[in-house]
Amino acid sequence: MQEAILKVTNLKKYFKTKKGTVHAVDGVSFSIEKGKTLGIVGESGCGKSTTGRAILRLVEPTDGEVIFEGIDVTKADKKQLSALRRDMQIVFQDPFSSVNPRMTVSQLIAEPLVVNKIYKGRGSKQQIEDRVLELMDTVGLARRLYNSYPHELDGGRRQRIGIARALAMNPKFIVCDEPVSALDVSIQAQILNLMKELQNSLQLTYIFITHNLSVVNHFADEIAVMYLGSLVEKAPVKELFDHPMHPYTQALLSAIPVPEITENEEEILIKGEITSPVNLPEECRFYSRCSYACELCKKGRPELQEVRPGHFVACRRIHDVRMEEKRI
Amino acid sequence: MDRVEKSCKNSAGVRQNRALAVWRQFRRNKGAMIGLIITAALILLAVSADFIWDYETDVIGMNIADRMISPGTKYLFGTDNYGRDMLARVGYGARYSLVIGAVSVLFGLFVGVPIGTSAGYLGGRYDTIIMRMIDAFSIVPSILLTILMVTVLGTSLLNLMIALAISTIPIFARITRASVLTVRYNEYIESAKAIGASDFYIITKYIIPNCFSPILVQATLRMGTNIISAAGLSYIGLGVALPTPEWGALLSASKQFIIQAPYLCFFPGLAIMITVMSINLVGDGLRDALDPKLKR
Repeated sequence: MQEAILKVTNLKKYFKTKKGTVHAVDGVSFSIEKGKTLGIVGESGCGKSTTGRAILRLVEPTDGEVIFEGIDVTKADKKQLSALRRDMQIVFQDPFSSVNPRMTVSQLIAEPLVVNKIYKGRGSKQQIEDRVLELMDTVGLARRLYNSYPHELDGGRRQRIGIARALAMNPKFIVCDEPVSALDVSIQAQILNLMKELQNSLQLTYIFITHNLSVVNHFADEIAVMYLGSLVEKAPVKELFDHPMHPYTQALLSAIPVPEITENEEEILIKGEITSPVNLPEECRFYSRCSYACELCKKGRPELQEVRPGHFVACRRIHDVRMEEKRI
Repeated sequence: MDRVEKSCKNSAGVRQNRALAVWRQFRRNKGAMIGLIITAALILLAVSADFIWDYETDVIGMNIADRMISPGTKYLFGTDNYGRDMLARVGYGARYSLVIGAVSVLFGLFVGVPIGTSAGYLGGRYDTIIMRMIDAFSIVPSILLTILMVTVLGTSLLNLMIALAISTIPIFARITRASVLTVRYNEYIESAKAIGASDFYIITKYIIPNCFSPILVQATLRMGTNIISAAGLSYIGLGVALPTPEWGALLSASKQFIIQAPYLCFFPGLAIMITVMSINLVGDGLRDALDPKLKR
């Protein structure tokens, strides 16, 4: 087993609002090995984007540790942080709002190099230009777009700008925050393939945040399912798809459309709505919507437990859930 | 660069220069163009006033023989009760109004924009305290505030400009803060943070340029308002004192002759009106040109 490049321990992010404290991320722990991809899956508002941002300290975490290559990101000072930002990057969800509309493609891609003063002194202009062109080739942007403005480009090309910006400083780790959910399906595949190729050629480590399980199926090595600020299940991709254990994961998987007429698999419907993350009671987060819920589930939040090798589930009634699985 | 330039030649997307695009939009607006031409002419007049008229003889020098002559071929705007050429006095007065307008607005920008930007960007308690102070300032009507300050500071051209500038600060602070707030939560601000950009870099490269248009429009419109205020204050004797040919002061001096010589009031009044109107036309035109969405 390789050593983890990133280790997140008990990460928390609370937002104080007038109505109370929003528990956006509430005690998330995981680690990723170098060169692997962790997919974080969950519905809107479950805190998956906030997790990604808290790891990079784009939002200040309330509590917890994020160890990246031995350095605690949450305690890094300004100098360390700017060094870390070269190694840890993010690709944003919406390629329409994540690029400054006033800058050209080349300016956007050159910006990380300029801001971090990667090239200095005479000839730096030429070096930056060379690097920008190299990056444009890497992410598949035609060189003729060098002086274009983002509004002249389609979503896929804009997202390529975003990826080029992230790659500019040769990072080791990238948080991909729903990088394809704003794109057309045909373009989604292109961008996913590009990101996969880049991962192989540049030995990148990804956190891939998405609400689309079928996307992450082809992309991730391991999947963490998130519900209301906590991880409810974590397992290698194949294991998770073959043996989903947590009632929430089961429901999520059953919601993936299956393109077959004969197969008449029953869909598990989740009743009710997602619980408000404001002033949460100390019970299982999924309690109010779970079909297995019982009195036991009201006694505090369940911890992640390893139920099979590499397969972690946070559910008190996991035994009963598995029994039922066997019966079917 | 050569290589890139060549490869750009067959680019479908034409390289757009934003300033040029705004100018094209602006040019289509007839009113704004008229305003711009008049404003430009007034600025030219103000700059070259010393070459046209000699201040000591033409503007403030008395000529009792030619007193109270109605507008005609010799004196286009007539003469006042001391025989001074009103054309020279009104023409020279452009200098005062424009300088007062420009300086007070620039000073207001210089102080108000940083206040608004910091309040909007930093947010939190700092924002609350600063903006409540600004609110407290704005409760007092700006003309009263200006009168108060001129009274405290004493009447002079400089004090008039300072007073107008101070009453302008809250307006710029507010409008800047409001537009900073609309820009601040864009994802591209976060993307700048992610590449390691400092707050200073983000404010100067991202926030200010994207807030520029409302501030520019407000500055232009405010210049007109400040010119009126300055004329008003001079009229009631709190601004520039006679014999300086400030338009408000001219009006004030002429009002006692309004029955015998209405032209004495007419020309300074007309000058104020035309100046403010043309500046406002430019401001409106800028607003339309900078934000085409507002037009319909």
